[in-house]
Amino acid sequence: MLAGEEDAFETFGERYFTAVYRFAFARLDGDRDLTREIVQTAMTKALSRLDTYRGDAALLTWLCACCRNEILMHFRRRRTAPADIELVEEPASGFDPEDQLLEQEKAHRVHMALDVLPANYSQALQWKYLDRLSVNEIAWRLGMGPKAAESLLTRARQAFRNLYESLHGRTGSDD
Amino acid sequence: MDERDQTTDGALPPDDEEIVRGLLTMAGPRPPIPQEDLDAISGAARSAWRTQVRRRAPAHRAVWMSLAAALAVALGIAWWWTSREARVPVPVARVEAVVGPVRLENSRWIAKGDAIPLGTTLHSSTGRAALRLAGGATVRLDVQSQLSFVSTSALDLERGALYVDTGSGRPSIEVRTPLGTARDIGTQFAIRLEGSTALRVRVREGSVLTQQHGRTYLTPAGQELLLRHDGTSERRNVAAHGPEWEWVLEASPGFDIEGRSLQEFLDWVSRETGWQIRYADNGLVESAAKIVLHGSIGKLRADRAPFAVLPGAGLDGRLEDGTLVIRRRH
Repeated sequence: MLAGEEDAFETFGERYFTAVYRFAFARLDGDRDLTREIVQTAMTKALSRLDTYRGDAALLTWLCACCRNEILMHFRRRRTAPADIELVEEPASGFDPEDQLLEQEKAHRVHMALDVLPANYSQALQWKYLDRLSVNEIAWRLGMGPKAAESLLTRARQAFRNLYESLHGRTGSDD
Repeated sequence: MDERDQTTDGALPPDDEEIVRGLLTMAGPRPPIPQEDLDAISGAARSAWRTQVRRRAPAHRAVWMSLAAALAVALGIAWWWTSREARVPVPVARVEAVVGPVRLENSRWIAKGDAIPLGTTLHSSTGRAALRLAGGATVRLDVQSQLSFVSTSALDLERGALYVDTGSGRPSIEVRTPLGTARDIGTQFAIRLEGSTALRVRVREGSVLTQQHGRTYLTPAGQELLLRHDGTSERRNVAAHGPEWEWVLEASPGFDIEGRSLQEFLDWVSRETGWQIRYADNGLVESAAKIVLHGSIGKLRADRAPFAVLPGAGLDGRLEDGTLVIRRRH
């Protein structure tokens, strides 16, 4: 990408901007305008010093760290912290706010990992585990044989797992 | 950390099939991200990236630009020489963009920059193409279409759909189909054959005269005319923007913003999308003519590009019922 190849930038954008947006959106109480502003600034700064990225952390982790810094700076400038969560309804029996936050954090990490995976991997995983399609149906949709689809699903699971684990404890531990 | 902790915290044990299933089911479908936000982020990031690339390797760039210029001159001379030797007919159109496979005659796929000789036919299957005719008008060919170039001002549409933009002050274009002939009066319009049963003429700007079985129908901007093979017809109102024009955007050749004014860029957006452009205050009208843009919008479509470009100029754009309202950022 540092060579100035337009296609490389397009691929970078498609893979990472959505995931970083999701990362910020979850930490800014769903404030869309603020999320857009902060991610814009963070990505601008990150790309201005892309040549300092040494590859010792996953690129997504590095980008999320840039974004997290920008969020912290924003709140420092405003000298405020994000609003406390206010419970407006009587919680159901067995409701545990901490568990719910953990679940939400896990869900964000799952979504971010799917954002960053190659499109055919994330699509195949969603077809298999969310839409509950058979391998034959997935194979037909991908224009390949069932064995090739099974193999693709195995690689997709592995890639998803690696990404999910790389996000675990790095992007989430600061919250 | 024991296995229980690993699963509750999110780290994965070795056997992953059930865990991946569990995680995806728990998380559910991904909530969509607003495309205009992603476009704005992409626009700002692209600008920073280009600055970084320029700063990093100015010498390399100069060398490559010189080589590219030399190559372009050499290719130009070679093209001119071979064209002259082979006595290729004067091109009637030139390809400005191709998305997917489009064939010239039954022989080869066309590419951006190709010349289309008089009397030849284009066939699109799953592809689309944008072409500029020798007279200056532009046309776009939809998927599953067949178009023959009869002259610089007459085209035969055998099947599928064609979009025509003659702009102002250019000769009108005649589109002949098995179900009737349409001729524009300074306009943007789309013409679509519905198999062998009907012809649909949809007008975005100006007006179109359509002839069938000796009768002439005038269709003004904002209307669609449906002409059936049995001579019956129907009319309805259509917006200048929206899903019916979606395929036209897909085939757009794009816009090079480098060194162009914001006003020129917005004119292009308006022409491509059918949106009206409105400035929140009068001072902005003057500013738009003076602001010079740099960089590139890459492959961004005209309905997304403003949300990437405007923030870089300190402006915001919001779409309100087919009107793009431009405001200063606070």
